Amino acid sequence: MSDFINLFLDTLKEIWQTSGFYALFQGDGWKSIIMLLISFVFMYLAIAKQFEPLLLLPIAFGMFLTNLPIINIEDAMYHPELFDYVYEYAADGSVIDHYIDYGRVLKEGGLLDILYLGVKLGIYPPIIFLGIGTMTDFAPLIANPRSFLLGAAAQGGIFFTFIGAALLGFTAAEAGSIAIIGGADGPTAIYVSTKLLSGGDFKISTGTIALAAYTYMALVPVIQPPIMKALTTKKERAIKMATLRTVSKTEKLIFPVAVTLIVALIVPSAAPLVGMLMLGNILKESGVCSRLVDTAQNALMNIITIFLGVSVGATTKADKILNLEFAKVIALGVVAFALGTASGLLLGKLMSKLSGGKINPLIGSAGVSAVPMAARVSQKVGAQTDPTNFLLMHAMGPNVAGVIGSAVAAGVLLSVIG
Amino acid sequence: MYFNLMAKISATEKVSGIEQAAVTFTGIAVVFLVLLILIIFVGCFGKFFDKSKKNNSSSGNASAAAAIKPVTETKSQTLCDACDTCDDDEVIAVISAVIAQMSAADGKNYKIKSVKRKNTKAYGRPIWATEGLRQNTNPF
Repeated sequence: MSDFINLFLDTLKEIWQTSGFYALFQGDGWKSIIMLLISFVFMYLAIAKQFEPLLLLPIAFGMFLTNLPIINIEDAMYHPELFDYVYEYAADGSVIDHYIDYGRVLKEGGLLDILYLGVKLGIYPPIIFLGIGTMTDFAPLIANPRSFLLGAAAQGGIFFTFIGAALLGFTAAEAGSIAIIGGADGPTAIYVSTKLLSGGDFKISTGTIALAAYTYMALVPVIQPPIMKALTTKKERAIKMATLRTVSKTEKLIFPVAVTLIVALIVPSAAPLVGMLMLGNILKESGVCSRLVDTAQNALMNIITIFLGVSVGATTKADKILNLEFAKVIALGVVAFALGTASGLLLGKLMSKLSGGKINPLIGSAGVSAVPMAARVSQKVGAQTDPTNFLLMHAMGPNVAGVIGSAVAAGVLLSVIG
Repeated sequence: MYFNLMAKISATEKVSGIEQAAVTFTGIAVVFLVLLILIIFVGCFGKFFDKSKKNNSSSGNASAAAAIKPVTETKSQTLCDACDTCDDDEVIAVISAVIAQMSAADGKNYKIKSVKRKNTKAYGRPIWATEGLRQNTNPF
C-alpha cells in the first residue's frame, strides 16, 4: 500500500515539476509572468481599443505562446537558438562561411519555428505587399505626381531617427531597424529588421520593432494632429484644393510597370517589396485577373497576416523585451513618427507657398505610409477647420507615395548596412 | 547595373558621426532622386494622355454636336414655363414638396413662379456633388 502511495505521490511531484506553473516560480520565471501580462495588455488594446487588431492580436498571442514557461525545451513552440548562425572556420581560425542551418530548424523546430521561416526568409512581407497592391488605387498619385515629393519628405523621419538611435549607442543594424519604424509601414519594418538583425547578437529583435511599429501605427490619429496643428496656420489648413483630373486605365496600367522598373534599377534591394506591391496593383488594374485579385486581397493576405503576426510575436522572448533597449526603441519609435509627420508637413508648407496657396500642407503628413489612416487624419484635421474642405483624395496621393518611399528607404538601409 | 552609392558599414558595430551623416544624406538623396524620376515620368505620360484625351473629346464633341442638334431643337419646344432646363424635374418636384410641407406649418400658400440654375460650383463640383462628398467622407 505504501508503495502505491509513494508511486502516486512521485508521479504527482513529477507532473508538478515539469509543469509551467512550477517553472513560473523558478529562476527567471518572473520575467515570463511580466511578459504574459504585457501580452494581455496588447490583446486588450487590439480587442477593446481596436489598435490594428488584425496584426496586433496575432502578435500578442504569439507573445503569449512564446513566453509560456516550459521545462522541457523540446516541447517549446519557438527555439531562437535554432536561428543562430553556424560558423565555418579556416585552419588559421578565420571565418570562411556562416549560415543558418535550416535543415536543423525543420528537424527540431516547433510550430512557430516553422512559421517563422517565412519571416526569416523574407517571404511574408512581400506577400502582404502583394495584397496591399490589389487594394491600392494609385489614381490620386498619378493625377498629382507632385505628391511623390511629400511621400519622399516624410521618409526624413527614418533617417533622422537613424542618427538618434546611433547616438543612443545602438549598432548600425539596430539603428536601421529602429529608424524604419518612422516609415509607418509594418511589413517594411519587419522585412528590414529581419534582414538587418540576422547574424549577430543584437539587443533587440524583430518582434520588438514590430510591436513598436504597429502600436504607433494604431496611434497615428493621436500622434499626428497636435503636430499638424502646431506646424500650420488656420489659413493654411483651410486651403481648398482643386478637383483631381480623371486618370485613364492605360495610365494605371503603365504606372506599376514604370515604378517597378525605375525603383528596381536604382535600389535593387527594394525590388521584392515594390515589385510585389506593383504586381498586386497591375493584377487589379488589368481587370482580367479577378480571381487572383480576390485571392491576394482576401484569403492569401489573411493567411499570411496570421502567420506573420503569430511568428513575429513569438520572437518577443522576455530577454529581448525586458531591458532598457526596449524602452529606448519605444521612445525612438514615437520620435520617428513625429519627425516623419513634421518633415512631410514642412515640405507641404513650402509647396503651398511656391504654388501660391493651391496646396493644403496638411496632406504632407499623409506622406508617412500608414495607409489609409494618415490620409484620414489629414481629412479630419482639414474638416475641423472647414467642414466643406475635402482633403481625403488629395491626401491619398502622398499616402501611397509614402508606401513606395518607405520601400525605397528600406532598400537604401539594406544596401548600406551589411 | 547600379551604382553602389557608399561602402557598406558594419551591422554589428556602433555608427560613427561621419557614418551617421553619410547614411542620412545618402538615404534622403536616394529617396528624393527615385521619386523625382517618378514625378518626371508620371508627369510626362500624364500630359501625353491628357492631350490625346482632349484631342479625342474635341473631335468627338464636334461630331456629337452635329448629331444632337435636331434632337435639342425638338426638346426645346417641350420646355415648361417653370423650368429652364427640364433635366431636373424630379429634383424640382422634391424641393416643391419640401417647401409645401414647410409652408403648411405657417399656414401660407406659396407658388413657384420660376426655377433658375445658380452657379454654385465649388472648386469644380456642383453643390449636390459637394454634399454627397461631405456625406461620404464624414465617416473618416
